[in-house]
Amino acid sequence: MNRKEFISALERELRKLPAEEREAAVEYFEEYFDEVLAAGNRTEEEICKELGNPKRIAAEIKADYAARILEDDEKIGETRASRGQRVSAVWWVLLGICAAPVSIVLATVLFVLLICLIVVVAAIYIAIAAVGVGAIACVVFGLVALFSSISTGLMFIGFGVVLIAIFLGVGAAMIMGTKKLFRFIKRKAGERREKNKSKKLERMYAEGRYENFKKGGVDYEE
Amino acid sequence: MAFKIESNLLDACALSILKRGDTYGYEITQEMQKAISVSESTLYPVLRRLQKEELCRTYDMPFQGRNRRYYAITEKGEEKLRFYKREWSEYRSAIETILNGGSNNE
Repeated sequence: MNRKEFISALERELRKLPAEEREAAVEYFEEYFDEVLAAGNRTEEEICKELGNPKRIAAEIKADYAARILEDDEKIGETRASRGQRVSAVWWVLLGICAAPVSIVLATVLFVLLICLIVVVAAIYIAIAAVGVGAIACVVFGLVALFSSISTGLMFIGFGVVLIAIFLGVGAAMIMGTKKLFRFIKRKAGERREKNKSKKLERMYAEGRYENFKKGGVDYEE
Repeated sequence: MAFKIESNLLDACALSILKRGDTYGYEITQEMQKAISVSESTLYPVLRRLQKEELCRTYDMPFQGRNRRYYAITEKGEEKLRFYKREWSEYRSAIETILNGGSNNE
């Protein structure tokens, strides 16, 4: 990798950051290349090798940026932190979670489960609606049948009334159940969000900033 | 080195290098590397953080037909450095107390 490739890779990795942050990083590393090249004992390729993977450097910069805006948010509070800043902080935290491959699988599984739940609930509602339609059909058919055979007519009207009772009972129970279920999910999700907030940040620190020290050679055995 | 360097400690090291005089990124990296092994890219987030927290400020000086960005410690930065130094000596003596087997045991 040469200087140009390194810088454009870094720029690409940082494209989601505000332009000011991205430019500052690019300027810093451009200057770094200038300095080392001016010292005259290393080639562009060697410098790139020393600097390491631009992806990892970008991850560090992003983690630091996220930590900074979250800290600002806490310090400044509601008065100065704009809504946009807060939203972007949340965005960065989310990016941090999604960076972990395990979380992607977990998030997908949760998402699919939620879809399944919605489909099941919808199917039950459709079944209940069908019972309702069937009940009305039975009653109508029974009334018509009364003219030809009183016993058949009464039987169908009886079926219809039973079905209407089932429809009303099950339908009401279902509506109450759905409400409770979604309230429960909402509450659980809220609790998890609160609990995970600090954990996520810690993990971002760990992945973004400290990861570098491991690979960068600070943490080696003598 | 068997120990990880925590980011506040890196901040403290960078501040104390700046305390000795204004300097630029590459030189700060080299200064650090004289004593501890930090990777070449570690310092950028540190300097950016210091700058954003107004612990240091930057200015550009032309050098051999290009710009060199200098970093200078601010008053706030000096205050923070004093704080870090106090904290560090407390921390160090606490660890040494444990490592040497208690303060009363010689």
